[in-house]
Amino acid sequence: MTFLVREVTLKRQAREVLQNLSYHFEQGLLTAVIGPNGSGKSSLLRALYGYLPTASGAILMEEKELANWDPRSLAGRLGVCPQEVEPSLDFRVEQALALPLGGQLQAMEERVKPLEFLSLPGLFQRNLSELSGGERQRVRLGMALLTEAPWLILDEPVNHLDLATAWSLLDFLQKPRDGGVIVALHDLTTAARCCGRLLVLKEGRKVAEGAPREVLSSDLLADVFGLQAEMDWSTEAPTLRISGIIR
Amino acid sequence: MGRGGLGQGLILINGAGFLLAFLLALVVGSGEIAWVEIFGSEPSLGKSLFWNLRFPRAVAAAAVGGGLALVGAVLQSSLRNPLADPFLLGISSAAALGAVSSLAFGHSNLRFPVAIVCALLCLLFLDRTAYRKGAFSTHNLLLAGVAVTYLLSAGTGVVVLLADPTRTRGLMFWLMGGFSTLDPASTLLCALVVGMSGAWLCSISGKLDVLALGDESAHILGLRPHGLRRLLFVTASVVVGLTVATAGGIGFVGILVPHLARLFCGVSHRTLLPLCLLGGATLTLLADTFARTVISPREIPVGLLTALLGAPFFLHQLRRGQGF
Repeated sequence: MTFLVREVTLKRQAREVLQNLSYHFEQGLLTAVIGPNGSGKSSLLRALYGYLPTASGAILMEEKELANWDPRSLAGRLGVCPQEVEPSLDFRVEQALALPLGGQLQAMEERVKPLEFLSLPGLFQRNLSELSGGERQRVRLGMALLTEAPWLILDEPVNHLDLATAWSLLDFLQKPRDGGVIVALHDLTTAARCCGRLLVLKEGRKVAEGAPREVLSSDLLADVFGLQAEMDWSTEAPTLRISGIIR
Repeated sequence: MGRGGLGQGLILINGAGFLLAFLLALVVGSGEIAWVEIFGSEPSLGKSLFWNLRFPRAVAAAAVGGGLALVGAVLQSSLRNPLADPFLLGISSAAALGAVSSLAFGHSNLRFPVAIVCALLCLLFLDRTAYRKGAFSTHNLLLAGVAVTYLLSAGTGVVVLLADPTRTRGLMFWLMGGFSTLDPASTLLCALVVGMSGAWLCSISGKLDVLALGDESAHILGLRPHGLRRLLFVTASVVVGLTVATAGGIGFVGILVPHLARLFCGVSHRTLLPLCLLGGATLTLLADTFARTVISPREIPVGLLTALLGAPFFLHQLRRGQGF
């Protein structure tokens, strides 16, 4: 069970948004892709679930190139929560949640039970258009998680969520699974506390990879994020201390 | 009532309404027809009136109305835009230009294939225009559709001007939409195609639901949106081409019926599509029955009637703020 990115370049229109990236997402780990705005995180994630075609290079899931996967079986192996929510028809929440399971409401209700922390049943009878940003995010996460796919790709999953839900989600993602979890994150404290591996991008290039403790040095925080800061590893829960902004 | 029960109940009620409207269309009209005549073996005026005029006309009205509502529903959800409709996208105008050209130059039998080909060419052109920088832009599609509608309507106007003046009045009436000139063979073809498209679309209603989530979400759930959307466009062109060649421009059915149906049953295609098929057929049957009886022996073009009834209702719904 592997997820391999081999010398991948991604283009949006003519602009290269990711250049010659190679990375091995490890099984059983929560990997965070971090980097400032426009560093190519979302583009990488979109390429990982096959929505953005590669300009060159290859992405292999379980030793098979993404393009060679049958779309339906790929959807069964990959649970995805995209960042941008497209305008969609105004489904009832329970209908939307059942779509990944072929519209079966009963199967959906069973699969939602272990996802208690998303408090979805209370939203079932409402329409998507009536939901707040956070509620909508819970539904999107629900659609990704209830597929019970071994691999999860979540683009900024804690966006709009209240802190309790966010932490329960991160807790859930750290449970052992057959595949792995790949998230894009902005909050470096969260990345340091919860993730087994970090992949750091800047302007479409990989600048660092490894365990949080190896990666998040003061030099990197200054160089990549423009922060005068350091990670405090002395306590059990590491904390980011920011003392200034470098311009 | 259970979840599935409500949708099934609505379909049953609408089915019953459709049957009543169909019977009404057969019974009402100028000329007395005795029921014994219709199924009798002797040829008679009443029998010929029934089988050559009234029955094909009812079938055509049902097929055209059902087809337009069906296509409207599918276009709105696959483009995720409440305004998508064969008329707004220019598909009807293209079909009308094709059909009017065939009629104006005296090849009335060619109007079916020509209308379908024109509708298809128009949709393919719009589809190409809608893809900008690799992504599908619904805004581009609708804007191009509006421009194309104006262009093709102007083209149709030119053709009508160039046509033999003796044919002009017939062309104008036909452009406004109506069922007064029909032949049984084309009616049957239209009904058959609408029925088959309806059956196919209902059978893929789950996929249509997924497509209605948006391209990226559909991709994530294992559906490749571009291919399915092209298939839907081809189906829409064939249905619109046939309905326009059969009955001219019947406006507002394609936009009114799907929105009404969504108010009752929500957006899921499993109940939406049968409701649109039945609702469109019922509405058009009733409108046509009304149009040919109310100032009999003269007729109101059905297209005028559906627009006169449909537009105010639609505006009322908009002002009430009923969403898409």
